[in-house]
Amino acid sequence: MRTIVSRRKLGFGALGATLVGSGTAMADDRPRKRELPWTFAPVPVQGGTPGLGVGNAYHVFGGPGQEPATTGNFKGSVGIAFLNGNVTRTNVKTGEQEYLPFNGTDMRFMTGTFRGTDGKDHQGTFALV
Amino acid sequence: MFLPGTGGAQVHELNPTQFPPVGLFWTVPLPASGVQVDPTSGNAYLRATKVPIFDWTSLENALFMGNNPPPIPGWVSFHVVWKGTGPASEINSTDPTKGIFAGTFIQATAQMQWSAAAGDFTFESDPLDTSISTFAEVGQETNGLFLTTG
Repeated sequence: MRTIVSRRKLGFGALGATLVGSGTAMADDRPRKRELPWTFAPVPVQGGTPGLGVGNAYHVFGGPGQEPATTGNFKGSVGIAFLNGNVTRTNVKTGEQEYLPFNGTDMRFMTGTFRGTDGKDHQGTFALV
Repeated sequence: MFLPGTGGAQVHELNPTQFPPVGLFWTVPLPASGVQVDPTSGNAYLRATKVPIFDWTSLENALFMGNNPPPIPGWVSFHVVWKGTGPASEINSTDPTKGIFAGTFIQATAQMQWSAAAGDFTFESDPLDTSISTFAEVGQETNGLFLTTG
């Protein structure tokens, strides 16, 4: 659950991307990739703030008047929410519990039609977590 | 997640870690049943179970895929509910910083309940109705090639 507030504090606008999908983590010493058995993938949205992360990624923060979708070549339904609340964290080794806030957690969905990297239209449902 | 109190340090950053050319920014595919939306009212829900994530501890570490500390694999389950409050507004943005897109969006409120596990920790949020949104909307959007081809 990521925090839009923190990114704003950093002055970051947003990142971009090309989805392959989620799945199990790769057996890498710096695990960062997830793969789906797809033969196509969505493409990123146009626009956003560039120069972030590895690969000069970009992204639209979202918010009033800003694009909520992260999938490009897309038409469909979208939702976005910045959420605050509290969570109980439990250390499974010690049993210690702590009550922590989550602030500005950015959650989004996209469901509809997207044109994939294969040039064909597909139905898809996605979440930004 | 942050330590309690004003300015509390961030202690967990959970996200799916999708980056180009690997993936969309922190975006994962879901079964179609994971989303239900009524574009007329702006009511919607998003639900997913045990989505693979990493705990990067901090946003900075996540953004730049650092190893300070190394990311810890885990999962997150969540249930988000949107309730449309209106009004609907039309947006046709050509500003790249805001995104190049068109659509109709309904103002909303939203709430979330979630759980997660990563490393030595499990997380269980308070019930859905205890959370609040600072911004929420539901809409119909078109972008990219569909802006010109319909």
